[in-house]
Parts: sequence; C-alpha cells; structure tokens
Amino acid sequence: MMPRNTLCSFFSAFLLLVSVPFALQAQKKYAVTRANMSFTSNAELELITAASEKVQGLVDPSTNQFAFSVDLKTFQGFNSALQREHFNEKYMESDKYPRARFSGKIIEPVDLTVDGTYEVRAKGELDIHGKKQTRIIKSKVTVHHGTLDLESRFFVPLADHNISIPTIVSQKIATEIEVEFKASMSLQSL
Amino acid sequence: MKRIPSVLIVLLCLAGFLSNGQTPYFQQYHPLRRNQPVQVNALLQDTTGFLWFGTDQGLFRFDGSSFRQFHMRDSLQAHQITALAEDSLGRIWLGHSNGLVSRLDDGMIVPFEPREGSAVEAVSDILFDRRGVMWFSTRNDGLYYYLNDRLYRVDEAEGLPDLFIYDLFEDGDGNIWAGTDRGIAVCSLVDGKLTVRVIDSDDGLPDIIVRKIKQLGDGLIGLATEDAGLVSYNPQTEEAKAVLGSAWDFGSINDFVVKEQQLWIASPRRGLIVYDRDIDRAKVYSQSQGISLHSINTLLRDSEGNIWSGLKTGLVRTLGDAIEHFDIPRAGSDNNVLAVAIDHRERIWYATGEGLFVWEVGNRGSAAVTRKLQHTRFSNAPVISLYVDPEGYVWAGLYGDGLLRIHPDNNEVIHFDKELRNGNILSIAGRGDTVWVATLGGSTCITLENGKYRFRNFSSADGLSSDFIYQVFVDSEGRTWFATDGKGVSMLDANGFHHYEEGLPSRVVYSVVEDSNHDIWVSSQDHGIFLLRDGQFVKVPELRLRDNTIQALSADAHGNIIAFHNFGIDVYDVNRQQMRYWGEESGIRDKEPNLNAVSVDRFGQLFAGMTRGILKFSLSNDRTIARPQPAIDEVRVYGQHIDLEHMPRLKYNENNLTIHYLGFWYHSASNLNYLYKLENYDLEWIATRNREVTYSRLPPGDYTFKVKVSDTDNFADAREATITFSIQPPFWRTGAFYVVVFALFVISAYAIMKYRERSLLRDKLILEAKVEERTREIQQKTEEIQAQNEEIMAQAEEIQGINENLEMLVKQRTEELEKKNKALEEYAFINAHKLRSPVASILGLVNLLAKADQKDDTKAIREHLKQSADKLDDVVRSIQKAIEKADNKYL
Repeated sequence: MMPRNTLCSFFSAFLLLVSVPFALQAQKKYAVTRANMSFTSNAELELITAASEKVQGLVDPSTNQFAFSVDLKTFQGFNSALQREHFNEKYMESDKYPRARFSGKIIEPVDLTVDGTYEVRAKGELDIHGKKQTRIIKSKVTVHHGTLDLESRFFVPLADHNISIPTIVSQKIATEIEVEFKASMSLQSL
Repeated sequence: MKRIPSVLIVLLCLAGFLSNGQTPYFQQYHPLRRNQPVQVNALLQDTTGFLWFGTDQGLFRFDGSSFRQFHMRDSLQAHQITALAEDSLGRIWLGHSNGLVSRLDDGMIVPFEPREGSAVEAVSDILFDRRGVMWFSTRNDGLYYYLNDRLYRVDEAEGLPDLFIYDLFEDGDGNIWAGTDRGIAVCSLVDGKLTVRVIDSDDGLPDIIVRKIKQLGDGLIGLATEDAGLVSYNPQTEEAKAVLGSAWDFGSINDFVVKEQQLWIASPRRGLIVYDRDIDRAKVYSQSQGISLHSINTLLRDSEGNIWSGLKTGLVRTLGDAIEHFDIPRAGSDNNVLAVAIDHRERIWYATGEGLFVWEVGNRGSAAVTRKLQHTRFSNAPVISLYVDPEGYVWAGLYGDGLLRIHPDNNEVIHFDKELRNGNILSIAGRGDTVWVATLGGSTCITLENGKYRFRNFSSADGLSSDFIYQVFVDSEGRTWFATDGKGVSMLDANGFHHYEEGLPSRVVYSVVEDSNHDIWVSSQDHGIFLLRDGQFVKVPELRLRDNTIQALSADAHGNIIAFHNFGIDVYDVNRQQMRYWGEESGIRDKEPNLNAVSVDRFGQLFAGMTRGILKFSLSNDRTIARPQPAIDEVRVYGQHIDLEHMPRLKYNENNLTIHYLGFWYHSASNLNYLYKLENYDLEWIATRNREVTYSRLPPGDYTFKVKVSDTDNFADAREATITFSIQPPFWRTGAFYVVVFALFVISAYAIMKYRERSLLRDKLILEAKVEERTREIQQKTEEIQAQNEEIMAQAEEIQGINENLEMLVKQRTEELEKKNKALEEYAFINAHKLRSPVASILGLVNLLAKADQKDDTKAIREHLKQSADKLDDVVRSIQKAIEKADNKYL
C-alpha cells in the first residue's frame, strides 16, 4: 500500500499511458437520434403533462458513462399557455437554468456493444433548477445492430431541487413529477 | 354457539375509506428556530450519552433539553456535515461534503489535515476500528484509512469494486465492510497490508447497490440495498437472504436500525417501515403530526430505545411503537371512543356517540374504517360496551337498549333485551360458552345450551352486594367477579356469592383483574389499585401510581398490571415490583381514557378507548427497560472550565466549584429529579431539579460528588454518576510541611543544644582556666600569706624579743628611777628639815631688829635683809612643796 499522493501520481501516469491507445480504438459512442421526454404532474385538482423532443445525449459503451440534457424551454403541452409561462418563469427559472441534465455511469457491468435487452440502473447527478441530486434511475436498454433504445420512468420530487410551489396552487401541482423518457441512439464516431 | 361460515361474506363496506391514522408519537425537534428547517445528515450518540447531529447548518449537541451549536473555522463553513464518529478517546470526528474530515477540539471544529491531503468528494462515513485505525469512505472518491500518521487511499487498484461508498461497517473479525454501488468490499488490514474481497451478485447478493450495513444480531449482517430491500447476510455460510418474507416493494432504503425484535427502516418512497421479526409483520408510518417521514436521511437508536430520524427538513424522535395513536379518521366526527374490542381478524371494533365502527389495518399500514349496524334499527343506538367471544361473535352492550350479538362478517344481529334484568350494559365479559353482562340492575349470565341461549339474572336479591355493577370479570378459575358501585366487590363461585370490601377506602370499585399469579387486583374510585389478599384489600407500596383515578385496568400474561388514567399509563411489574410510566412524552396528551374501555388482542396488545381516538399499548414492543442516565457534564472552578477527570487535584485556593450534571432521558427530559451528595461534605443526599450545584470555600480534603437521577421521585433503582477530586491543603498545612517544620525544629533544637553545649564547654574551659588561675593566684596568695605569716611570726617573735627586752629595760629603768627617787627623797628631807630652820632663825632676828630705834641708813639695810630672807623662805617652801608633791606622786 502506498501513501495517497504517491499513489495518485502513479495512477494518473498509468491512466495516461493506457488511455491513449484505448481512446483511439474505441471512440464510438451512442448519440441520441430521436427522443421524447415527457413529464406528468398528477395533483389532486389538476393533471399537467408536457413533453420535449430536444434531448441531447451520449452513452459511451467503453466506460458505460452517459450524459443527457434537455432544453426546458422546448417543453410543449401544458393545459394553457400561461401554465407553460409559469413553468418556465416561476418554477424552473429557465432563463437562469436553461437545461436539465443527468450524467453519470451505468452501475450494472453490461456490454452495450452486444445486442440484447438490459435492465440497468443509471447513477449520476440529476441537475435541475441548478440543484444537483445523486440519483439512481432504472432504465431499460435494448441494443440492436448498433442502435440503442432507451426507456425510463422516474420521479422528481420538487423539494429535491429547490422548486417551491406556492400554497395556493399546491393542490394543482404534484410534489413529485413523473418523468418518462424514451430515446433512440446510434453508434457514432465523435 | 354457531360457527361462523368459513366462506367470507362480502363486507358491507358502506363507509370504507383509507387512512394513515395509526402512528406512535413522533416528537419534533428544532435545533435552530422553530420554522428554520435543518437537514440532518448524520446522527451519533456518544459514550457519555449526548446526541450529535451533523447537519447542513453545522454540528449540534443535544442533551434532551438544549442544543449546543459548534462553530467551524472559515475553511469548513460552507460545507455540510455528512458523517460523524467518536474515537476511543471520546473525541467527535466529522466528515464534510467537500471530502474534508475534521475533529471537535475544545469546542471548536478544526480540520484534520494529513500530509497526504484530503478526499475530494463528500465523506459518507467515518469508522474507528478496534485497533484505533480511522477509516473514512467517500461518495465517489474511494476509501481512506489513516495509519501511523499517514493517510492511505483504497481504490480500484486495490480491488475496490466502486469508488462510490455509502457506508462502513466493522465485522466481528475486525474487517471493514464498505457498501458500494457494485457490491461490498471487505477490507482486511493485516500488518499494514490491505486486501479487499468483494461480495456481489456472484456471491448471491440480490442487489449490488448496498447502502447500509449493520449488525442484525445472531451473527447476521443486515444489508440495506437499493432495490432488493433488507438482506440478511451470514458471513459464516456466506448466504444472503431477504429479511422480509414477501417481495420487497418499499423501494430503496436510506438507513435502518434494530430495536429488539423490530427493524425500523427508512424508505424514501414509503416512509418509516417497522418490521417485527417475531410476528413477520411490517407496518408503515408515512407521516405523523404533519411531519412527512419520507425524507429520512439517517436513523439512530439511542441507549433508551428511542428511534431518532434525521430528516431533510428536521429531526424527529419516537419512543417506539409501544403506544400508537389511532386518530378517528373523519374530520368533524365524534372521536370519543366509549368501547373497544378486537375481533379474530384483528379488526378493531369501536363505538363512539355516532355508532359502531370497525377499523381494519391493511398490510401496508393503511386503514379502512367501516360503519356497522347501518340500516338496522340500532344504527344510532349508543354502544357502551363491547366483547368478542371465543367464537368470534361481537357482543355490543347498549345504553338502555339491551345487548346485541353481531356476526363479525355478515353483520347478522341478534338483539337481547327482555331477557335481561336491565338494558344498560356497562360491561361484558365471558369465558368459553358463557357471557356475563354487568348492568345497572344486576348481572346476567348467558350460556349457550343446545344451540340456545339461556339467561340467568343476578341481583342484590340473589346475593349481589349491589345492583349497580361497573364491571364483570371472569377469572382463570371460572369465578365471576363484580365491581359494584359503592358496595365493594362481589364474587360468585360454586358456593355462591362472597363479598369483599374490607380495606377499600372507597367502596366504589371500577374494575377487577387477575394477574399472572392468579391474584385479584381492583381499582377503586380515586384511590388507586388494591390487591385482594386473604379476603382483604391491601395497598402494595411498590405500586406507585401517578394518578389514583384509574379509568381502566388490565393485566397481562407477563405479570404486569396496567392502569390507564388521565396522565397516561402506569405499569406495575408484579414479579419485579417495578413501575414504568408512559405519558405525555409518548403523545398521551389532550386525551383521557374512558371508563373500562380497554380490550386486549391475542398478541397481548391493549386498545383503550380515549376521549380522542384509540390508544394502542403494546408492552412487548417496548422491551427496553431504560432508566435515566446521569452524567457530570462540566466542572468549573471560579467560572473556569477544568478537566477534573484528568486532573483531579485542586489547589487549596481552587475551592469554589460549580458542578454541572444532567440526566439523559430523551423521551422526557424535563421530568427529571436529581439527588446529589458531596461525600465528605454533605451529610445527606440533596434533592433538586437543578442541573448544577456550587460549593464555595471547600476545605482541603478528598471529595466524591455523586448524583442520581430518576424520572420519578423514587431513586431506588436510580443510576449514579460520580466524580472524585481532592483539594490540596496549602503548603503550610501539608504533612510534608509539618515534617519539615518538625525537622527544622529538631535540627534547630539540636543546633541550639549543640551550641549551648559547645559554649558551655567553652565557658567551662574558660572557667576552669580561671579557676586554675585563681587557684594558682590563691595558692600564690596563700603562699604569700604564709610567707607573711611567717614574717609576722618572725616579727612577733622579734616583737616578743623586743618586748622582753623592753620589760627588762623598764625594770632596769624602774630600778634606776627608784634609786633616783630615794636620792630625791633624801634631798627633800634635808631641804625641809635642815635648810628651813636657819631660814626661820634669820627671819626671827630680822623681826627683833625691826623693833630697836635705828638710824635711817641702818633701818633701810634691815628692810633689804627681811626681803631677801622672805624670798629665801619662799624658795625653800616651794622646794618643799615640790618634793611633797613628788612624794605624793611616787610614794
């Protein structure tokens, strides 16, 4: 066992040595070709849904790391235009925090270059409204001939991301928002 | 008695709805201001008993009544506390969200700065292993340990499956288990060499995300997983098994604690799950008193058995589920529960002024309430007593309208009224096929004979002491006891009625119970509980009630007498002769038990009808018999903190001491009484509710300060904390000083003696010299004197010689003189006699001439001749005289 600082420097040198040829060999990553992200707020008095297709994302099959982000202003739907305006201005503050992000790694040691259907858990930082939360999100991943289809459903508690709902509308907006995400990705050289 | 058809008949759920109204009491705490939320990330109880809270607002210490906040140096200010640990020296260590580790040092949080630097991600746990090695885990920066003043990092190179570590645990062999996203890393550090073994799905783990690892008891290790619930792992057989029998559907687990047979599990999706391992049942508390229990970050079971939940927005504590409060779910409804009974399907039948209801608890903690007797003519009849017979029928006693027998499932109702002497049914009891009812007109015994009920009425005319009967009770020997209003207790056995009232101050008896030793106990109006012994009622001195107005009395199979009164529940353990109390601290407030409205289910759980809802009391869920733990917090001398434990010797002028002590009794911190005594100073124990005492001007001596704490005023079993110290006497009152002084005295006395001796000696010598000198002198003088004497003698001899000589001379002279005198005498004789006669003849002739005439010339010659003759006569006379004189003189 070596002390930490010695160990770190040793390790970074080692990483540098091995990562160069590795990076050259496996540059191909899955990138989003088509996606749909929708959310539902199922409150006592009102059901609100909205969706966006402007989702960007990458999955690196060599490291099983991933990153997704969505432009909040592109969400369409809602029950009224005013509601959408409130969503962007009051709750999400889309001017200040234009994108929601989720990036991290896939916990299960799956090989996403091999065809098949995998139930995986993606662990990473969910960054919404400028507040990061470490989350584990279950997803179903299907790999078929260089394409990757992804399906996921999860809940976002508003309190986790410092989104406060005025008491007056508390019966119209759920405290947990259900998010459904589907994406088709293809292996691309980047 | 008819058997209930085995086919379940569809319930008449006319008023069914779901509720979560069954919870224990959760006390909420506010480390800061009341409305200021605090995110609690880490909980710790130190060995003294203090609770420590690591939060996003810093570190807090809690003693049950007050919080103390510890401030951090600027470098730590912005970073939340994410982990807490206590080392073997009792120091508190903190892990922060930026990877730093710090330590509480003299009231300040100071960073721990090893030369190797610090972690870069949040610290998730800190652990001191049995050898004192500090380990800390991080969220995505691996595992660290600190050994021999060096910090080492464990990562993939050592075989760590993942850098994200949730929790650390030390097993019985001293191995450190790290729960990660990819299984458990079991690290063993032998002779400075670390090896890592991984337990994951290949070893049968149902889920590789392991968020918490704790001891489960019986050598099993509990693993809280992300998706597979709680898993028990046997390190001997390496077998992993789900703890809850059924499939886990409570979501991920943030933390769990073991409380005797129960597991308390924090699930972000469902709330707080309580799983009873003995009866394999789980229930869920999702919220209590408006506090959501979903966002529990961390759990702690303290030494008293309290369960502390650190929430995202605060802190709550519960004493456990010994007491659960059932709030009558419908808003605005009458929640004064007059009677309760538990049926064979563990449904709670209860009666309020609005009617009869059944509360059915689902598997997941939810409850459905159904109204009974609807669409019958008894729908509004006031039920005041309930009983479930061994066949499962529910008997409901009405107020004035007789008795109902209700089929628990098909709701078939049989009404008895005319058969009874009186229609006011205050109590129903039974045994086997016999049902007894107590009424305001005596008692009725109902027996099932040949499929028909037979009624026998008893009144004062038959031997009952009174017709007003509060309660009827059938004991284990089949005797029937009647608690009467004003006439003591009647008992009916094969020999007829017997009366007991001697020893009761009030003859009004509310309730009769039998304990596990088959002794009969009664509650008497306003006078507490009495034991029937040899036909007389006696008070048991150890049975100390907080209130003598007992509303309901019960006894269990373990020898406990359980009394309900307006201040809570008092339990007397007959065998141990010990009292235990539950009250406001368990949430029993603003609710009072209704008279004899108590019922027991088959698990021994009691259900009491209260003025507000139902209270469930389960002694078996509270096996921890805790007592308040006293501790001496601080000792100050003239206002300055001193560490008496390490420096128990005080100087003579450090004799003004203030001792701060306290009792740890988190579930009722304000109700503590103390007894203290300073041994060697105080003569008696001193009772107080203060938490400090000051002693001024303590004389030097050895002292032991003792403090006892009790939540009652009985200190018989109270624990004691002591601290020993001594006040040193001033140096002039020390033995050493006395010895020195004595020695000095002795030495000086000796010196003086010696000095005197020496001076005496010297004086003696001088004196001797002097004496010698004097002696010599004297000798000399003596010699001189002797010489003088001799001289004197010589002189004397000489003088004698001279004298002799003189005498001879004198004789000689005298002889000479005598000769001269003879001559002189001859001369005088001649003078007188021969000379004088011629002179006298001349003088006669002169005188004759004078007469003859003579011429002038011859006259002148005669005159001259006379003159000359006179002169010669005178001379002869004077010579005569002179000789005569001499004769006289010498003769």
